Amino acid sequence: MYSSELIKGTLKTIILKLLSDSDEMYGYELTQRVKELTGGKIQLTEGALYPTLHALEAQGVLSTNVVNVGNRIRKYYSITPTGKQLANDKVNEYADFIHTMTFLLGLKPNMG
Amino acid sequence: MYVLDKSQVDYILNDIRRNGIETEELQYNLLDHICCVVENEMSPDMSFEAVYANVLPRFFKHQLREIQEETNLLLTFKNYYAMKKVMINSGLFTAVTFTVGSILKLLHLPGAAVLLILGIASMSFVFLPLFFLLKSKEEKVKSAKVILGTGVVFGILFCLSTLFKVMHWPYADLMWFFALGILFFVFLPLFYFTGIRKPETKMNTILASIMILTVGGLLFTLTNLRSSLNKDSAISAANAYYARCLDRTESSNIHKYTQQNIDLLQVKNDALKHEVEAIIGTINGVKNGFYAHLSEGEKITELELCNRLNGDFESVANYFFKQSNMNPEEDALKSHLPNLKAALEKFKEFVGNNYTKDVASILDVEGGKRLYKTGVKQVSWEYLCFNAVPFEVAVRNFNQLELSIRIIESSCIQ
Repeated sequence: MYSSELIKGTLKTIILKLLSDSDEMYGYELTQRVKELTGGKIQLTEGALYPTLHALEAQGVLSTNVVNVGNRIRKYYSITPTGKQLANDKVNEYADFIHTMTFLLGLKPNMG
Repeated sequence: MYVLDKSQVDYILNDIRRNGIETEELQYNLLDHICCVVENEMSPDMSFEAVYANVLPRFFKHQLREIQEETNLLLTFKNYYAMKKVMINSGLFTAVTFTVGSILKLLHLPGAAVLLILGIASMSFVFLPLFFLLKSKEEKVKSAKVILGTGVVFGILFCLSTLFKVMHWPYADLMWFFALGILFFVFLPLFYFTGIRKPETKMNTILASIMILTVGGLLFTLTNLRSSLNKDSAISAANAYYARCLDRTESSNIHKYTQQNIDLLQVKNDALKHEVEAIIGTINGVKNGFYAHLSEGEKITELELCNRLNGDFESVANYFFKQSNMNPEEDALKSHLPNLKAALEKFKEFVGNNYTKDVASILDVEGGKRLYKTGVKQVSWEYLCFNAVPFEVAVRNFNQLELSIRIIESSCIQ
């Protein structure tokens, strides 16, 4: 498990990327997918996930679809065209960030 | 897999609500998520309550409320930039419209009123409220928020009272005194006594308080300029004198009419009386219309109206002239004054024909000379008496007309 500070800065990127790779997902599904893809190394906390989802929805980056499931309501999130663009930008930015950090922290000094 | 029944789902939902999650969408999001986790971890031999009690604490560090607070923060953070942008733009808009509006007002050019209203409205209703919202978010201490709030209320009232004063709308003075009251008796004490307690803000607080007191005092001094008691007394005295003269002349005329017992002269007097009543009716008609227009139909004394208009030339000119640029060559007349002038000239002719030209000449609608920066100009009677004159002067000119008619009447009765 990584520290929550590390994850906090990348939360938006993770959500946007996962949603742009699938039609729609709900909150629990997102956490499970991340857990599964990272072998449990990254676990999204609900306390950070839902506020971010709401903010992205308010920004118009995500759209929602409400479905009745058994005795409760489930809110599916999908990405909008502007969201797709943002997801791309975020992933590229992050890739660049990793590159810079690798150099900065001297992980592979011969790189760069 | 275990599926939660309706009562269990309701139980969780109620618990979420009880724990401070207010947004409905967030409630349903969390409900679904908790249900998913509980259903995954539940086995037939376990009690729902125990699993739930075990699952819930994973959602927060201290309290479930944190999720609501974090959501609110993220949502308002997005608005924060939009609000800041609107605030800055409305501030710029006010600065531009207010400056241009004031210059136009000073030069008596059209568009001044619209710009001033727009500028002050954007200041009072957009800039200052947003300023309060954004700044009060930054202030952590409650007293700082209260000080900011009273300061903003003062600012809004101050702007509005200035607008009302410039536009000659009612309650401008009331708002003005209310604004000053808030400044001196609420804002300043709060500001001073809060700031002076902390050693690091003590000096600045004292300096700022002195500045506020000085500027506030200057503003209060300006209030005196807004309506002078001397002017009020002078107008009241002039009104009383005019009323007395008119009253005496009228009753003396009535007495004179009754003295005449020769039939032929009585007929002539009746004709005179008829003409006099007609022309006085016309004068009062125009005067009352003018009065009603400026007071906007409100029942208000001449003195109050005079103070409200506060020497404003334009309101008077705009009632009588189509395009009032305060220039005798450019201003076109509306029909009020030409109609009145025609009636006055007719009356003058009547007096000249039936009595003497000398008496008729008491009534003067010839116009006269007026001094301008560029020199002396000959201007018409309408322009001389009713354009670019304060309200009280226009009223005085109407009164003078009425009195002249009564004096002519007095000299003509046989």
